[in-house]
Amino acid sequence: MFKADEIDIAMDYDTIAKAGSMLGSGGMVVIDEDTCMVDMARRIMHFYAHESCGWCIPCREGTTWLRKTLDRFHDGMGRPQDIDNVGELAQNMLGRTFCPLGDAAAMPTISIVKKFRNEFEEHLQGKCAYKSAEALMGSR
Amino acid sequence: MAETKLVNLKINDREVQVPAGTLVIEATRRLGIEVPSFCYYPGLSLQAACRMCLVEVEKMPKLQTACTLVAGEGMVVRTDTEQVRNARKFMLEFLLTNHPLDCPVCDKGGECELQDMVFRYGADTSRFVEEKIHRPEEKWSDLVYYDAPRCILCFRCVRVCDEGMDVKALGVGMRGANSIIIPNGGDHLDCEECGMCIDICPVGALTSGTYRYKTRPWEMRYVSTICTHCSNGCKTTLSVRNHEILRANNRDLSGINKEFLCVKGRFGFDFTQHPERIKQPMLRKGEKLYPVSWEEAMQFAATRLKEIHLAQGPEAIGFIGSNRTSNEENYLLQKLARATFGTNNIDHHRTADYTGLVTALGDQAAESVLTMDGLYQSKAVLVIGNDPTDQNPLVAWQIRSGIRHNGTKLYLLNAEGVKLQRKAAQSVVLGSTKESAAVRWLATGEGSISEQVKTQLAALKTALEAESELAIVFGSPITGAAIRDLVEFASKLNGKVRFMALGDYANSRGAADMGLLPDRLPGYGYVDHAAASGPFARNWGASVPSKPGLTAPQMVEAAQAGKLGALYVVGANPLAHFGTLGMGRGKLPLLIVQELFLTETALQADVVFPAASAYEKDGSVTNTAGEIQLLRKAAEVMGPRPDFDLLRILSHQLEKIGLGKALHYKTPGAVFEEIRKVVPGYGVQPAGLLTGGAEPTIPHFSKNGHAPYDVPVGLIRPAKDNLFTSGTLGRFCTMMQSLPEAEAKS
Repeated sequence: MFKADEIDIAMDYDTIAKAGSMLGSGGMVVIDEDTCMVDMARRIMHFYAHESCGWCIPCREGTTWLRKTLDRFHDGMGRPQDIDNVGELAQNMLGRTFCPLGDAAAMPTISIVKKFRNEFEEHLQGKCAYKSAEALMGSR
Repeated sequence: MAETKLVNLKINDREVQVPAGTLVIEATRRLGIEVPSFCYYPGLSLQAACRMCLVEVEKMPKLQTACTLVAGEGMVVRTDTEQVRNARKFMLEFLLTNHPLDCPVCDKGGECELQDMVFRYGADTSRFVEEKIHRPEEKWSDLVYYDAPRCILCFRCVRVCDEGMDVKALGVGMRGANSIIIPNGGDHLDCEECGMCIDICPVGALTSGTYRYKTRPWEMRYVSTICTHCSNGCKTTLSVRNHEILRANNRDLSGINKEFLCVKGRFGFDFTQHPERIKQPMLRKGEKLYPVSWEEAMQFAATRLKEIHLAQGPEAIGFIGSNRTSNEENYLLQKLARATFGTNNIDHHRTADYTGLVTALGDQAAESVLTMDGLYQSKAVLVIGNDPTDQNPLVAWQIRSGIRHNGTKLYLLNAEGVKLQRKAAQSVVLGSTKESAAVRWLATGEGSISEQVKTQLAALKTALEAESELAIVFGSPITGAAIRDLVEFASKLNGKVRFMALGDYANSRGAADMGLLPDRLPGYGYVDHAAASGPFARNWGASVPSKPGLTAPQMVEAAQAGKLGALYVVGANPLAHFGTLGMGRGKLPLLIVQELFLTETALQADVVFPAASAYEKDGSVTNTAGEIQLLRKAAEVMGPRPDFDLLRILSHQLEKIGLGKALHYKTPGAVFEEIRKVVPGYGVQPAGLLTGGAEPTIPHFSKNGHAPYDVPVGLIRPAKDNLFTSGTLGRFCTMMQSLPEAEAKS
């Protein structure tokens, strides 16, 4: 996931990979500054938990665990240690799954925790100052 | 054999050399290094699903699954790095998220692979605070229960049912963390009830209806012995608490059957505790049998036997032995008949013509031995006149495993279609043509056979001629002359041929091998051949009668007609199998029976001695392939005694009143020592047996100028047992009687 000041790069596999993301099918999601990134992470994880086939343990259990934690966190019941946990759990999936679906779930999650940590911390104070990602992209 | 190429690799700085194609996980095991795994199971297809076996490999960017990685030359593998330890730890953390953490009340606690792995590689705390997915437990059959939350989705059960058993009763449903195992009946199982899925389950997801929640694994003793049902001789480990058998499995994967057991081997032991077990000697007084003391029963039996022997001579007494008692007991029974009473009136219920096979092979008998492992290894297999899936489950398992692992080619020649057909390279279904006629045509080109069948047989013959080796497995339709035809046909083939005759009960082969035959001594020497009987006569210090005796059907006929003075039956039910139905014992003056239950025969007896089952005694048995294995006493039932004891006690009583010499053997082991010395083919080394293995007997036999061997019609009678029946034992096996699959078959 790239922030606004990181996106001025060539859109090819090597460059994107070098910058720390994955081009995959070439699809791109543009997220505006009014979007809650905790909700975005939650929304992404709903997708992957739903798509996970169940074959291998890290993807099957990891995506569902993250989905539940992010749901809880966004609903205002987060704990300080959840922020690191989310990043670490995603890290524990990365590179260890049977197919790249697990990687695809892990990478944006790791990015969001790293680059938008402040938004997670704001949620701990009971604040969500942004438009919901759901409003933009449909319900979960 | 082509020389196998070897590759060298380094695992944790240790050099190891393995055959090309070996998986890294197997290479680590060679070095005694544990790489944990759930989904990897030797012999089943690879999954790489559990991700527990991740290892570091030099020059590979990501961790690799050792279960799918083939060892390569110069590969450098590490299983003990921080990265690998972390991967295992966090994989287990993932696994435990939805797994109940209630080991103290789980049926698998104490022998759970997940528990062991977490103990060894896992974290001591959990970060998971979300709600677990829960589903209620399901009962799939009387024998199989499924608890979805405990399931770690390793898919071993699905694979063993599909690939191993070819039953395909299990599948995966739903997806993601909601994935579950689903039985073929939707909410129940419709299968062979072998229980392989329970045994292979690493956790407490699949549990056994007969065992669950009865005890704890550390409260039991584990006794490895041999299954007492069919003739295949699977090793089974009985779990025993307070002298009672609570479970049977083969989780150490040892013995000729490795992980395999069928429904009978795994669940068919409750007959030992059946309320109708005979627990006291019984004596007939008028119309009824009454419990009496051992002294009274033994004295009565010995006195009456001696009276009849004295009054009517040796040939007035007949003995019918068992195909479930041990080799030692069979040997003692024929010794009692021959040495003490001087008669060859001894036989058993024959279900396969082992005599015919050994005789037809003659000098080649030793090199034609086909063991269960040999069957698995053979490049080609021909099954004639049998449905192994139903009647000889281990034989079927060996054939299926051979096809799966070694590309074995299977040929079938049967009157009717059998389930193995779908794995066969060629299957000839004969319809109204007899198997023996087809074999005759194959051997000689003679006999009236329809053109259609002839075309198929010709194709079969061509295919068999092209095979470099062949294992021939045949059932009860092939006896006497047909075996000779078969051996003749085999001699014309290009490849090396080995044979296995398929009988029906646990020690059918042992009964024949131990000379429970009216014309043959132990080891199949003819009774009238001095060179064969000499060693026995010298060893026993008694003469061996040379006149062939009566067969089992002849004895029953003579008994009913009053031509026999006494019939001594050990673990058999001849009045139900032979003779005129409804006539009972007829005019027979004395009938003595050693039995577990009051069978049709025991109900007619004058004296009934309560006998111990194979699970309650030590000794040895020989499976249908001629492999000896040891029985070890597991259970104790108050009252009954092993037939070994009964025969010894009787011999002492007889000696006391002046008939013959007492059998002075202290243990079955002492009898086995004698068997090893005097019975041709049984001179095996005990080391392999003592470690739980099987030792093939090597028959050696010479015809000594005797006429070609043949059997009268009706002498070989298959028991027609299927997966859910087992003669008398099956009738008193509550579990087996309760299965709907069993009912559907009967």
